[in-house]
Amino acid sequence: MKDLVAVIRGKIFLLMCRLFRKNIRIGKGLRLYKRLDVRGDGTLTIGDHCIISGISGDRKQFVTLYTLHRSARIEIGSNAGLYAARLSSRYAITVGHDVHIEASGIMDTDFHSIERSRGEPINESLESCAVTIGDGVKIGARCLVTKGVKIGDCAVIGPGSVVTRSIPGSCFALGNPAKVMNPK
Amino acid sequence: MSSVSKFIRLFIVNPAGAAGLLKALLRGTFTVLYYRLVQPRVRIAFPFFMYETFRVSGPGKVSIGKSCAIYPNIFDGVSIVTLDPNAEVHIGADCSLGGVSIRCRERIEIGDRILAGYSLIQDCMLAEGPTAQAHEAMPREMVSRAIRIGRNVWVGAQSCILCGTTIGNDSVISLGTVCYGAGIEEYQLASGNPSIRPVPISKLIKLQDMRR
Repeated sequence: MKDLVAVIRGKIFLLMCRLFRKNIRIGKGLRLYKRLDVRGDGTLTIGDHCIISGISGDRKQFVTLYTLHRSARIEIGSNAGLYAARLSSRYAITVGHDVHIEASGIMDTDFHSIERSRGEPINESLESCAVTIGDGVKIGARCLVTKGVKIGDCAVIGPGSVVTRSIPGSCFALGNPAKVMNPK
Repeated sequence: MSSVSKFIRLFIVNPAGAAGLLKALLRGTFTVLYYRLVQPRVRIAFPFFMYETFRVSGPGKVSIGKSCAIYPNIFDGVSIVTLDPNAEVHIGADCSLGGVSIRCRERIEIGDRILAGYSLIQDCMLAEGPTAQAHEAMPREMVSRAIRIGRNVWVGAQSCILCGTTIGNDSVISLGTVCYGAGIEEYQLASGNPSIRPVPISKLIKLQDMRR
């Protein structure tokens, strides 16, 4: 029953996007268990058979995909599971296939500069700030991924960690800043 | 009888606090009755003080000792989620919990007299998604392991206690700590993300005395 409602909600969302919001492109078979909040006029691409859901036992029960500029873009591969994930992009966020993201934030900008004026951040460009997340990556609850980070294929990020530097593929990382650890 | 006299003294000193206590007790009693009648796998002992929301979901077993209190912390109460039919959560007596979210796939044991802030206690790496995974095919870090917390432990706000952690009696988990597979012994202070070396509190107290 829940799955049926999710499929119907996904179809309605897809139709609304086709009619009113040309910047959003979504593949077939989207399942919407909880609310999906899309803001901004950048381009958003979501692959086939994705799951949008909340995390059980938390009060934040929706997925937010914000694009903060006309040239910003978010690309999400197929078979992705987004559970209360919060993505906000100023330049580019690329997420691979078969990704599992739980209750964590991914952002590719600092939003403000460290000067007193708190204006636009300086020294930020598409090359230095784009976030890339590989195929089959699993990110635990209450994580943060900051700008300019590349996470390799099949990596696992433990809950509660803050990723500030790039992480190679097929390893386990934990901590603030996140470091590669041997699983105990 | 002593509790009644205590309540009367509280009513004389602080009438608003007494009213809040009475409201919390009433709310807790209704919750206990609801779970007794509707979901018998959730067992809550009777004096249960509920200042904030308390939610239990999932198919596993939950048991809570007597005279526990739930306080608001970042506008959030306690939520307990069991993700597996064999999952068990045991919470001791006299605990005061605020904003704790517990996600259990195997077994979580929490002792008596716990003080906990807005924190996450989770004995598996990922809470959502497919549960029926082959154990041989799973990588080592994804296997869920039981958590044991002793009595009289203080868990700070924004801390995460993850799979395979054991915490001894009278220990303190400081603010923003992430414990992953850490063995924290009796009367120690754990800090850092990830917490690697816990420090004995008796040594810290000696250092403080030397500074004076």
